[in-house]
Amino acid sequence: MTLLASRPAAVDRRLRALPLAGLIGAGLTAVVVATWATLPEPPFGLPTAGPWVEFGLPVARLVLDVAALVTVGLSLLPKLLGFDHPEATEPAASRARRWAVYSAVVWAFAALVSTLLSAAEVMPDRFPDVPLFVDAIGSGQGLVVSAAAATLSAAIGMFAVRFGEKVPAELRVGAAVFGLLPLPVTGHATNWYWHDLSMVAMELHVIGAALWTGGLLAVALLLAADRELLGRTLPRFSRLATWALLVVAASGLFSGIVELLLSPAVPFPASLVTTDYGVLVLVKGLLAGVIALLGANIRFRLLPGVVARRPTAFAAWAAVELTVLGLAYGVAVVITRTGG
Amino acid sequence: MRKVTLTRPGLTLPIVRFLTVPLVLLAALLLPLPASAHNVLKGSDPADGATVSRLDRVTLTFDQPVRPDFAKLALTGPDGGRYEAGLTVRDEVVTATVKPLPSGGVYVIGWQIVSNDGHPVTGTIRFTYTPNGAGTPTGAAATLAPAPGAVAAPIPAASGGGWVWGLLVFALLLLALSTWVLHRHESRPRRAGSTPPAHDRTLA
Repeated sequence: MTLLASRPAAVDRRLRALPLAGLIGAGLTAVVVATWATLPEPPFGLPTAGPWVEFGLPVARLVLDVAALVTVGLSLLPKLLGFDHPEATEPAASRARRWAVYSAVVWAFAALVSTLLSAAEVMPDRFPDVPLFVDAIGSGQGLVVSAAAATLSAAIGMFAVRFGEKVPAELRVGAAVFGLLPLPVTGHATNWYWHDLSMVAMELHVIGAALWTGGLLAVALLLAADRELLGRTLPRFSRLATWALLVVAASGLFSGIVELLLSPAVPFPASLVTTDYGVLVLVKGLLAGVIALLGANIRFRLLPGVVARRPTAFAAWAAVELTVLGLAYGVAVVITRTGG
Repeated sequence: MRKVTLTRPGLTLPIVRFLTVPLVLLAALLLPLPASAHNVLKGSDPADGATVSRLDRVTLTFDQPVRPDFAKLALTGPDGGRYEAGLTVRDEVVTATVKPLPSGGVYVIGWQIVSNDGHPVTGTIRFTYTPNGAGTPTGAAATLAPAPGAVAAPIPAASGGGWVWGLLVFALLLLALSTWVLHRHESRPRRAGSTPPAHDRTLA
């Protein structure tokens, strides 16, 4: 950290984007590798959508997920900063408001691109008929609702940019979180008995992951350089992150195992290693373990120093944790395509 | 003092975390559950790798009802010709009638359906056809009537939903506009230095 402090400001500013770069880079890598590894044999004699759709769709979905979590995290940041010392927190809060609008725009755009590519995947033999796809298939409606919610989020964010924290942070978090909900609901089957419970687990999983990853990213991007603000904010985030971790782990395990149990083709314990879906669940469980360790490292090793306003390696460790989270997000995108 | 407040939750949380995992595992194992999210092929007639001497129709059986609108099936012969005739979907069974097969050899079925969750599910089945007597093709297939209650798979007509395209264009314009406005908002105070933005001055 003394090294970081002695670097020129330009280098320091570039390093500050490292958490975001780690998240996106790792996510893209995981998406491409996992998609390639689980690519099904093309059906003989039928037209296929081609690599642009096969790889483009997961990438667009990853961009959607990451942009959504960034929006949630940046909307959440004012709540974490608190409103007692506006003169100290306003620079960071105003940057968070502006970036939240940009990420909401990227989110909406990614949702629209995903709709187009999903339609192309379903009807590979002709130019994608998006209206037909949206009309006939639930996940198309989910993507459109997600795009609409992202646009709403961007609109509320614009008001927040103009009028500052007078636009309640709760409203912004609520709008962004609302945009997370339609995709798990429509991306899955609706014809079985435990559907409701499974849906609740999915929604909790998505919300928990977005609050946690987004919150960490917002703190790492905007506060890591300011020891005073970080010391005030990180304990609040840490409490939230602990709960989010519990929720995400429990709901993820539930959904993954239920899905494997329900698969009629392969019996359960074997399906963990013999099916693509099972392997991805194992990989994600492993990543969750690593993330929990990294989170524990920040909470128990670094947090006392951060609270004492001592220089710590928080930025570096946060970047590492976000990189692993990016891997988990990438694998998650492919999981929903192979079985969930 | 600060240290105590920080480490106390840490002592209990790992225990909770370690209990959660086996509990959820146990709960998940104990629940008897039907059906799955993705449609899965349960069986086919002819089966993959089978040898048949007579072929009227190809039947694929899935674990859940299949959407008739996006189901596709291709039967390709050893000569590269296509021999599937009509496709019908009835609940979880997809049936394709077959044109008279000209010769023995390895035939390939390629199929694609759209799962309930909107993801396409695809597969390929290979089987060998060895006709009983040479020159006596099992030509009855072409006249086979679809089973009663079956839904003929319609080729989805181009929908008249131009409004979705309009909505897409509108959304893109809106997004571009907000980005542009935001960008201007961001750069204006910097360029203006300490002077307030124009609209504030006109109001004042």
